[in-house]
Order: sequence, then C-alpha cells, then structure tokens
Amino acid sequence: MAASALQLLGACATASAQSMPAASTVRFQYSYYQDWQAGTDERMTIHAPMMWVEAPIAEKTAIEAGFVVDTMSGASPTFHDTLSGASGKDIEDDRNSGDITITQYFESFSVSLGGVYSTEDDYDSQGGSISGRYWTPSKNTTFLLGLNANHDRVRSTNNPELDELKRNFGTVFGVTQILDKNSIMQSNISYDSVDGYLTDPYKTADHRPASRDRFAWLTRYIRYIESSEASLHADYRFYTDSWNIDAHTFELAWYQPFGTADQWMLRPRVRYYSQTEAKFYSDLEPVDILDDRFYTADQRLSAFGSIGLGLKLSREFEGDFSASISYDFTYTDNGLALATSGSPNISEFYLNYVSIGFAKKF
Amino acid sequence: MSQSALPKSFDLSELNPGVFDYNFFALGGPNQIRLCAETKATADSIAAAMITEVQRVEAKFSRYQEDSVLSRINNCAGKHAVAVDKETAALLDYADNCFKQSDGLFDVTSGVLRKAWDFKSATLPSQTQIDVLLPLIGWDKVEWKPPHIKLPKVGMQIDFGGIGKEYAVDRAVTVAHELGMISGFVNLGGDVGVLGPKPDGSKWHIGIVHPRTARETIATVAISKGAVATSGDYERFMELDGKRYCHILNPRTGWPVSELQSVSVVAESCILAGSLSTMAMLYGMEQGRALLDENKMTCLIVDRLGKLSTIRLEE
Repeated sequence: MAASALQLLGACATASAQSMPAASTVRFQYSYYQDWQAGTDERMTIHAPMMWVEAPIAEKTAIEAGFVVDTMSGASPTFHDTLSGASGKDIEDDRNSGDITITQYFESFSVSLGGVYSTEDDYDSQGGSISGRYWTPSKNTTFLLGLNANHDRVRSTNNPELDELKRNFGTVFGVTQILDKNSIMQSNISYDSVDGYLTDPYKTADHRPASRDRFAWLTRYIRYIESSEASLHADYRFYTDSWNIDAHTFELAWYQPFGTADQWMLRPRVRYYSQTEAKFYSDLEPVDILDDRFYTADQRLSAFGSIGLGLKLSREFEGDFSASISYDFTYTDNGLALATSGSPNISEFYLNYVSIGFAKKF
Repeated sequence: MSQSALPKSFDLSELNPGVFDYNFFALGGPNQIRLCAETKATADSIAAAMITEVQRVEAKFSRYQEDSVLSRINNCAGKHAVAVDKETAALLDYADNCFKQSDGLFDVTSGVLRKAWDFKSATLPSQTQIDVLLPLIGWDKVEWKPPHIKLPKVGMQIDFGGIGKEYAVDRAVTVAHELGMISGFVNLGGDVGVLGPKPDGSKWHIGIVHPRTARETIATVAISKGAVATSGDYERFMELDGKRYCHILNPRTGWPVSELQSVSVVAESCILAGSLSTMAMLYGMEQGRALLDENKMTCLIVDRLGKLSTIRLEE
C-alpha cells in the first residue's frame, strides 16, 4: 500500500525521502517575477535562472544541490505616484545562492547534512542544517526532526559604516501518515528564533526589535481521486510571531494527468493568504520618529490579504526528459485581510510569476 | 525632432478612470506627464502642447545644439556681445541672482570644468588640467548688460545645468494651466511640477529616489501644487578608492562636493526648487541647511552617511 500511495506525488517530499533516488536528475529552470503597484508605474522585476541536481553517489548515499542567480531591477512598492531624483546608473542587484545536502540512508531511517549560502552586494548569509527521518516498518508513518542555523552579515550600499550580524536557529518536527491507499496526511511544526540586526537598512526611520521568534504549523492532505486519476492537495498553514503578526494560508491544488500514457499534467491552484500587522507597523510617512521607538512602514509587515491563482503544465518525453511551464498571479489588498480592516494606505499590489523548467534523468 | 506624433502613452483609465500617462524622451533622459481629464482626446492635445513646449525650451537653451541661443553666446566668447530676447534675459537675470545669493558658488560659467572631469573614464583629472580651466570660470567676469551679454575670454561658456530642465518643467506647467488643465503633473528626469491636486482633491505623492539604491525611495512628499527638484551626487559620478567624485563641482576649486548625498526641495516653482537644491549641495550640511531654513522651504537632506533629515515636512 505504501508503494502505491507514494505514486500519488513526488511532491510529498518526506514520503519519497524514504528511499534512495534510483537515478540522477538534473533540472534547469528559468523564472521571471514582476510586481507592480496600482496607480503607479513602479515595477520590480527579477530574473532567476536556477539549476538543481540530485544523484546517488554511493550505495546508500545521495547528494542534492541547487544554485540560483537572481538579477533584480526596478523599484520596490511604496506609496508614491512618481519619483524625484536623477535616475543615475542602472541599479541592478545580483544575488547568487546555493545549497547542498548529503543524505545517508539506513534500514529504517536517514540522516541529512546540509549547507546553504547566499551573497549579494550588501548581504551575505551562510547556514547549515541536520535532519533525520525515521519510518515505521510498515512505512506508513514517517517522522522528521530537523535543526538549522544561519549566520548573516548585513551591510548597506547607502551607509558605508553599517556592518551588522544576524543569527537564526530553527527546528522542525513533522509527521507524514499514509491514511489509506488513496490519501496521505502531513503535518509539520517549526519554530525559529532570529537575533541581531533585523532593521531594513534601506528604509529611513525603520527600527525593529533585535529579536524575532516565529512559529508555524503546516498541515497538508493529499487525496487521489480514482475516477479522474487526479490528486487533490489541500494545505492550511498557521503562522504567528513575537512581532504580533498572525497569518493564515489556505491552498488547494489539483494535479490532473491526461493524454496518451498520462504524459501530460495540468495543475491549477488557488491560494488565499491573510496577515495581521506587526505591532510597530505604522502607515504614517516617515517623518520625525522618536529615536528609541520601534517603527516600520514596510508594507510586508502591514495587515493585508492576498489571492493567488496559478496554472502549471508539464509533459514527460522519451528518454526520461520532462518540461514544464507555469504561471502564477497574485493580487494583494488591505481589504482582503481576514480579521482587521487592513492598513488603509497600501495601494493594491499585483504580482506575475512565470517559470519554465526542463529536467532529465540519467 | 518630430513634433507631430504623440509618444507612447498608457491608458491607466482601467485602474484609474480619466488618468492618462505619457512617456517621452527629451533633455537627455526619460520624462513623464500624467493628466487627469474627462476624455483621452483632451488629455492628448494638452500633453502634445506641453511636450512641444519642453522641446522648444530644450532647442533654445541646449548646449548640444549648434543653433541654440546658448551656443551662439558661447561661440562669441572673447569676440563680441550678443543681444538676447526677453526669455533668455530673464534666465540670465535669475542666474545672476543665484550667483549673488550663493556667494558665487552657483555659477553658470562653471560648465567648462566638464573638459577636465570625464566620469566615464574612471580617472581623476590632474591639478594642472583643472588649473588651466579655473581662469575661464566666474560669472562676475561676464559682462551682462541686458539685453547684451559678452563672455570676455575665448573658451568661456554658459550652461543652464541646474536651472534649464527646471525651467522647462515650469513652462510645461504654465502651458497646461493656460489650456485649462489643473490636475496632473509633469516629471522631467526627476524634476517634478504639479498642475493641481488629484480629481478627488487629494495630493500627489512624490517619492524621493534613494541616493544609493535606485529601487528604493528614501521619503515621500505630498503636494497639490508647486514643484519638487532633487540634486544628488549619484547622477554622474565615479568612485575611486572608496571615495565618490560627483558632477556637482565647486567653481572656485574645480573639485566636486562630497558632503551630502542628495537634497530635495519643495517650492512654488521648479526653477526655485532646483537652484536651491543645487546650492545646498554646493554649500554642504551646515550652510545648506541654513540657506534652506532661511528660504522657508520644505526640504529633505541626505547626508554623507545616508541619514535623512527634513525641514518643514508635514502631511
């Protein structure tokens, strides 16, 4: 039963992690992200080519590695209608990041060690993680326990004297349970604690506390529907932190294979997200803020709701080759927040995301 | 330059009814006009008139065009006086006033220093290169007896950097008002003139570009009339050994100023906002602040370390 349930989806990472990858896979993906704010022509665009590899490197050892280059340009969202000031040089921000994980497999458990790094002009980050998975003899239940730590260096191309540190420790505990031959349930709880310089150096009058504790609980239900040979994924995630932000995410995705030998797959999805504002968030424009008070006008910490719609199409070809293309659209507005009325000064915000990917197994 | 076809325009009226945006290239950079009108036809004709006026001002006062008034004056340097029309005379009077107000720091004859400073080359000029040009600088040397102007030495030049683009903004606003358009704004390369409040009576929010990260703003000013101009050390510059050399040059020493990252001023006219912001950059923090305080303007100053201070900024 475990085997057929596993055929549901490879997207259920914990379940498929019970066994060594049989073949090596190389995946190349190119993503394009563009956002803009209603009533202005301020746009931010990001181009991100990415490469990912998974391969067995010994009888019971596998390696997984990924590398991304992001090129970002444009303005980030704010309140304004137009800009005063010379356009100056074309400012582009490039970020390189990579991660690598080595997993050793045993009879009823596996252990993984991972490293991650990210660098850009004004921000460097390195981190490591260790995690273990244990599965019961019937393989119907899998437990996950993980620990991770990150060390970041925050600087600013604006202020040559800024050089600060930020440290993050986190832990995750999860359970994946095969309920019956057509359904799987997964639930993960994570906690992390960040200390150090959390203020945004590019926003004046931005002063955030030096610590932030975060808790999240994600539950996912996957069901295989025999009549249409499709699967349904339903997710709910609850988030809360010490800055008073509470957030809820609801997502539904439908995976529908079709065509000869089910070579094609269509995946529509819909997502709703709502968050409350940070306790020190304020809409007021940054004027004379008292020195010691915590304050931010960063919209990402305001109260808002968003709706996302996405569609992905993929196809398997001869010779273990596959290709996919996906499109996601998100609309964010203060009026969409659940409990509160949201922060009034935020303009509506739109986001387009397109991604094309190719993968080959060896 | 073709004046017939209207440039690319965006109809934002789906998201915002009655709002029309026009983007066009002039004065060496991208420019924007936003008008709020009942019909696109009304907005189109007013935008066309505004753009024509900007192009006229550019052609008349551009140092890059051989047949401009400025080029004529400069070509006669060291030879004879040139008679100018009322509009040019008014600008020269204004330049004269700026010179006096700033104890000679704001000087329209300092453009000749361009010959020593090539920001694309990433090489500093030698002191000799600068010393050779210094005797050609000095508005006090210029014989300005309206309507005649004479630059006494060959090689002396006048350019309206710091007031030319701002003047074009003011002229575009005037043309719009004459045609009855009172809601919208014009933005010429970062110098903004507001025609009047938004149709619902609220103010326009003008973001001030962050002097170091173009994709962020450092502050926002909200105005329903008047203008905002920004002068900064990030427009044209080079950085060598961690030190920045920008295009705002002190006419007495020939070297760039380095005390402030940017100054933005809100004033009734763009030419006033532009000249005050340039003067404040030339003066530096203390005297710059004092100058702006004395003139009772709202302004935003970003110092060398990126710290923002504001005078009279309110919502």
